[in-house]
Amino acid sequence: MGRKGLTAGVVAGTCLALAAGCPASAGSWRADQSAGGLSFEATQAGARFTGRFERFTADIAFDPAAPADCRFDVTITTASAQTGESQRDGLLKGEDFFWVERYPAASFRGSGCQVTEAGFELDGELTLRGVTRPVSLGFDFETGPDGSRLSGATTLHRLDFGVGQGEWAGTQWVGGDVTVRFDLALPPARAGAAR
Amino acid sequence: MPLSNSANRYGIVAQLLHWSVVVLLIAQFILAEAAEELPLGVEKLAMLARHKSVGITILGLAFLRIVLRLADRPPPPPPMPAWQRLAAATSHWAMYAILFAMPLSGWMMSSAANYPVSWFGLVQLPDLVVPSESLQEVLHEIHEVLAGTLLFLVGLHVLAAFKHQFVDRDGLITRMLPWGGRD
Repeated sequence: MGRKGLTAGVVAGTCLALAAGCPASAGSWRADQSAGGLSFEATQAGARFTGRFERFTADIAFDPAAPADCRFDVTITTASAQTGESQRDGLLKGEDFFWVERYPAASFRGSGCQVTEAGFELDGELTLRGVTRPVSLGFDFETGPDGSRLSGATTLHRLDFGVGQGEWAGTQWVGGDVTVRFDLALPPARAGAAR
Repeated sequence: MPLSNSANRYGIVAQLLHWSVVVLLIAQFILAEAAEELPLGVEKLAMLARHKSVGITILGLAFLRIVLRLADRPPPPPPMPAWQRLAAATSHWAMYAILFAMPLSGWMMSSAANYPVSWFGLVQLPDLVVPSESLQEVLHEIHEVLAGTLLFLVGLHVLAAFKHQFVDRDGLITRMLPWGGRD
């Protein structure tokens, strides 16, 4: 992972005031595609395939000790969707799918994370192709000496957002469920705080 | 008609495999040609999905045919010049090879295009190569050259069979038919 894409983490105010007692894992970050991956898994003709978004920014504030204070603000450049095949990439950018001319960005926003058996969960709102709907994001947050790792996934129904118009509005040949996964490496928050 | 090959005739199993592959190959050419004409859309996706499923079926049948061919000796050919026997053997083995090479190149092509293969929506097959558009183009070329080669060999195969049946009148075709000829 390159540090380049990460602007220095700025630890939340309360945390700064108590610098010494501040948990190393808590912090706020601005991450982008160089911090990790944002991928999606969809189905064509009964077979799963994976694509990814090559451009996004994620403003994340998270403290595992106080998950309720969390805040996620993610913006995704819809035109950066890549599936490894240019015809399909062109189709995704078109009006029937992401309609990037009209809706160049998708966003996910939410605050107030909850602790679950599997890790954490954030009930937020996803705006995609002009449609805003509640989306629940399950994620893990692991902290090591090199920083933290934030990873998780959610499954969406593409037709809820109008992704797939006309002949693509059926789910026989292109499945309705799309799993979105992310995996971000975040630098130690304290490094940012000490600066 | 016996299950296995006799001195004058292929058995039921060998005949069933031979003719089902014939029918599936015809379907493959029709599906591929139809899909080629279409723009990227649901219909094209459906055609290609069926093309892939049938192709994987042919790959499975090709395995069975090779096993059977090696396990159960085919009826000996009627008398013919040595060069004809050699030509027949060569084209037979070339066709067997293509029955493997075509589905495998198609499967690799699907993996390279990141359109993984599912067998009739029931089982997803693993990807053979990582996605790469340049590799996909090369494999597409190979797949088409193999199709042309197969078409040529099948044409030769049919012409040779007709020549034996109608010119030499040695009853060769009836060896692969459930009726006619000697048992």
